[in-house]
Amino acid sequence: MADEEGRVITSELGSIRIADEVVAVIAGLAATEVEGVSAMSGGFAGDIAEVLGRRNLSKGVKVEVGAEEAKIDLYIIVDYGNRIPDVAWGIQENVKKAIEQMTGLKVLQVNVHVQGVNFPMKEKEKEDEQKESTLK
Amino acid sequence: MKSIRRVLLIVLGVLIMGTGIFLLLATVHPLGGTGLYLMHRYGQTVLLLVGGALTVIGLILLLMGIFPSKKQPETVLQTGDLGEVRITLNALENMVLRVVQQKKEIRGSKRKVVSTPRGLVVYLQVKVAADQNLPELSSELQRDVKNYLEEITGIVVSEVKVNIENIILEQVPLKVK
Repeated sequence: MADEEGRVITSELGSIRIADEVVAVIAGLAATEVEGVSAMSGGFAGDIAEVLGRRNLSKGVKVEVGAEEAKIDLYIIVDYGNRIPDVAWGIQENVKKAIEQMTGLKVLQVNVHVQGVNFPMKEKEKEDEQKESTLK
Repeated sequence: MKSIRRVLLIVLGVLIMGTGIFLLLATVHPLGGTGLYLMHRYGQTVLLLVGGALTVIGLILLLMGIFPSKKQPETVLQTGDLGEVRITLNALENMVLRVVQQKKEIRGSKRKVVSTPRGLVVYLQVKVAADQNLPELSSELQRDVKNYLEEITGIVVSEVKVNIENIILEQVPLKVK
């Protein structure tokens, strides 16, 4: 069964269908290219898929694709020390450019949802220690 | 759409868990012809393993259906031509923790960030080492938290409420003569 969702381009030679998943993968890759993005945040199902060894390139990406336009929601984790508005602006620009260039869709919105901050390893250990001391 | 997904997860979970329990029961007390057939065909060990695995998978699916993952509360950082930028309050609380960690005098903390129309309000409950100037430490903490959050996120921090929960006394080991 072919996926009926996605963008269809019809020409004299036939039709080309771009699945929503493809748009999501492009968005995910474009987002992770931006400096300051630590990872995509895919929730419980995404984490299970990764544990099982399946690299999910569309993790943390939600797309709504219309006939000519698209709306993207990205769920990200940023690296500690970066200014979040700058990182988010970089993501919006890069994702819009990548999708418009590769699929021809017009990107109306790229909404960025920061789900967490990734601290370097040493900081994380300290954080855990402090959390423990708080619980005691 | 989401409710259809939940119903599907519950139905699938019940079916898989039911099959798992049936297989587990078949190893102890075969129920009817199918149970006996399975017991003879695959043996007790295989049925126990498959039954156990199916029961666990079914239970997980059932729980995912009954208790859907709660969306973390977020606040808007900025709205532009290209869309919105949002951040979870949990991420902001971790940033506050980062500031608190840098203060040697603070021995433990609980943090809560609330988004209001006037800006963010940070509630900070801390345990402080003994012999500290508390007003000075508190105002320094308020200033650092406000500056850090505003610099990193660009959101206005309207209030930082610090509550000194306790004073931690360092334990001096007793000298044994």
